[in-house]
Amino acid sequence: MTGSWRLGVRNLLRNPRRTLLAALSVAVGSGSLIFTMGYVDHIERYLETTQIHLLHTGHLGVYRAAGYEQAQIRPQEHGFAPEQQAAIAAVLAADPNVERHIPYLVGSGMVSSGCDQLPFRATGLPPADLSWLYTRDVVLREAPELATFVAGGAPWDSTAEAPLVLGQGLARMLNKPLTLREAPEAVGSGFVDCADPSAKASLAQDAWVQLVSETFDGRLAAMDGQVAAHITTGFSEYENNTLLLPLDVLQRFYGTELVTYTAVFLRDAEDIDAKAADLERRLTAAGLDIRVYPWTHPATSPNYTSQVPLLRIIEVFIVLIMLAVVGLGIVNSMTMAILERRKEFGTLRALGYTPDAILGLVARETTALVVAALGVGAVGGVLAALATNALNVRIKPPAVAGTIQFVVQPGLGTSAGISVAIWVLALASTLLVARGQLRRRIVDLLYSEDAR
Amino acid sequence: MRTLLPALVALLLTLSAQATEPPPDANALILSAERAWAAAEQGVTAQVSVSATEKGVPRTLELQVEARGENARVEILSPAKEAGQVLLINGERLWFWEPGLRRPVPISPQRALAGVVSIGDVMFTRLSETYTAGTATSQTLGGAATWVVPLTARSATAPYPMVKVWITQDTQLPVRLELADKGGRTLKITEIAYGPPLTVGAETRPFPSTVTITDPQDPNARATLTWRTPKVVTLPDARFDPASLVVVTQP
Repeated sequence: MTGSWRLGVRNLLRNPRRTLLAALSVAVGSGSLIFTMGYVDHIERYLETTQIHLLHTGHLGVYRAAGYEQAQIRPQEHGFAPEQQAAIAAVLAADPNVERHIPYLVGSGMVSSGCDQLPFRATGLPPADLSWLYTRDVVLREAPELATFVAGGAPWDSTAEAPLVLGQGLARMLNKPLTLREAPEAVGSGFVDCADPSAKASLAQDAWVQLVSETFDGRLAAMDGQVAAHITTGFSEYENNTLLLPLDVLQRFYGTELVTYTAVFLRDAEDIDAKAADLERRLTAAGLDIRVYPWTHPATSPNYTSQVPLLRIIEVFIVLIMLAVVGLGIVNSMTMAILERRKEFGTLRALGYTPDAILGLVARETTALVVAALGVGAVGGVLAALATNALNVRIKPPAVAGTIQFVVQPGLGTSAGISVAIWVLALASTLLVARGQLRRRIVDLLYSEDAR
Repeated sequence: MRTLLPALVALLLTLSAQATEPPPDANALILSAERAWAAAEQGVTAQVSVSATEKGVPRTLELQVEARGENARVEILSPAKEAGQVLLINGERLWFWEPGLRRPVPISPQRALAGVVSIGDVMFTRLSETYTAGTATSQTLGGAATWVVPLTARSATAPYPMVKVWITQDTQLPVRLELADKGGRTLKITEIAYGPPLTVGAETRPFPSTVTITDPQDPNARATLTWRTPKVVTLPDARFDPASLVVVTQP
């Protein structure tokens, strides 16, 4: 520690009450901001992870040129045939930044328990890919509640012919609380007379359902399915109609070899718009009539793109309010500290210290105080976050199915940013006031009223 | 002009006669029109060929229809992909089943069967029970004098909320139906031609031979149902019991 730093620290210790007050305002302010930003950062990462992995958007989605809009209306004309799937796979396999690519078939229809009948939105993908998505580190870290099965077991381990995963809202409305794990065998057989009051209770005893829909070529088709698991999608919009099943089973059901889109998962997903444009260019050059959507596109990620901007606006307002409160507190503490030291400044000036030398001393004092206080604030913010997480506080944000844990995960980058902002604020306010005082004559400083 | 004059006079006299003739009771007309389906009251079987075109794509189906009253059982005979599928109506309830399916699936009569043809179109509907008749008006259709009766569904379970029926004044048989949604927008037009009558006991009953269905919103959407080899038979209740599908499923 150089002499100037030592002098600065000694000055701080000389007036512990003043130092404690100033440090408290910095520590509480920085800790609160770190805590708040930790929640907002977590929610953003949660939404991003959910959208990309559990709502099956991928970082990039490769569709036929008009496929995203038309695939549900004219699936036969807007899906990828096997040769196109192979061509896409070849381009993606040659890209070292592609971690995995998954073919998806999307369709709709009605699912029946035997009595109750509800519409479904089916997503078909290879079971091994579903397993990969549900066991990814990022998914287990950011959205662990959505990566577990509310009921039943891992569908990719099922030996059933058509293992289905139902959104828990759909399972509840169908009155299908049991999965293959609890009810591997069908109860009774065939037709159940729904006019019989005991019919629904009887149907609830097994995991069998029937799907009915039009095939891609316009035929009416039905199939049996066995409920292997219930999931929560995290979003009310999908909770009551989500149905996941193996790609080959869904293709057989719709009588097609097509897939609706390919989701691409990248190792480096920074600058996603440029990466989407680059992939689109390469696939087009390979003779494919496609369109690539980044996961941030409003068409493929309506939840993320509608919620995150709102979240950010709220975040900006909260941060501005907190910064204003914290900033005023810091400015007030620092101003008072400087005003209390006018005689001291006069003495130093009389001893031959130049104004710049005194400002340097003040800057060191402020930095020492703020750094120590920021450290305390950061530790406090992290401890508050850990305590909050341990308490498992449940909240129900709008459009979210059920409740989610109020998780606070302070990020290093955000915390560092907050710390630097507070340090700059404290330093600027201190130096501004000190410079104003040091412009006064030495005699005025020496005879100024003591603010203490 | 001389040659046109007698024709004009005749037309005016006809119109004048029609204008003065009071319209018949619409409910009586509908009951009479239901004679077209009356053979089905005893139980009737027929093979139906469905030839449909939708979005320029042709599609054909061969069906075995068994009907009695409000109940019907329709089995698809061909194409091979769909052979064995059964549609079963018991009163207002409809099930779909295909070989290997564990349980029959309840479905809606409005569900498309082939192109513009929905399942309800191959069933027999008792108009007098399902709809409330409005006031009949006279109209000439294809050179034949007809009564036009507007019908409004009695309940939400009716295949169509609004129906307009053209009934020929001489045979009292329905020859055209306009099927509309709640707002009155015509969804389908059904035209019925009749073949040789069926013998039911000591009587003969008319029976449709060809039904043509078009979609006024889509000029390319058109289907023809040809009823062949109709026979009056006795059909037991079990044929229309969805549990009978289980027998096929679980031998």
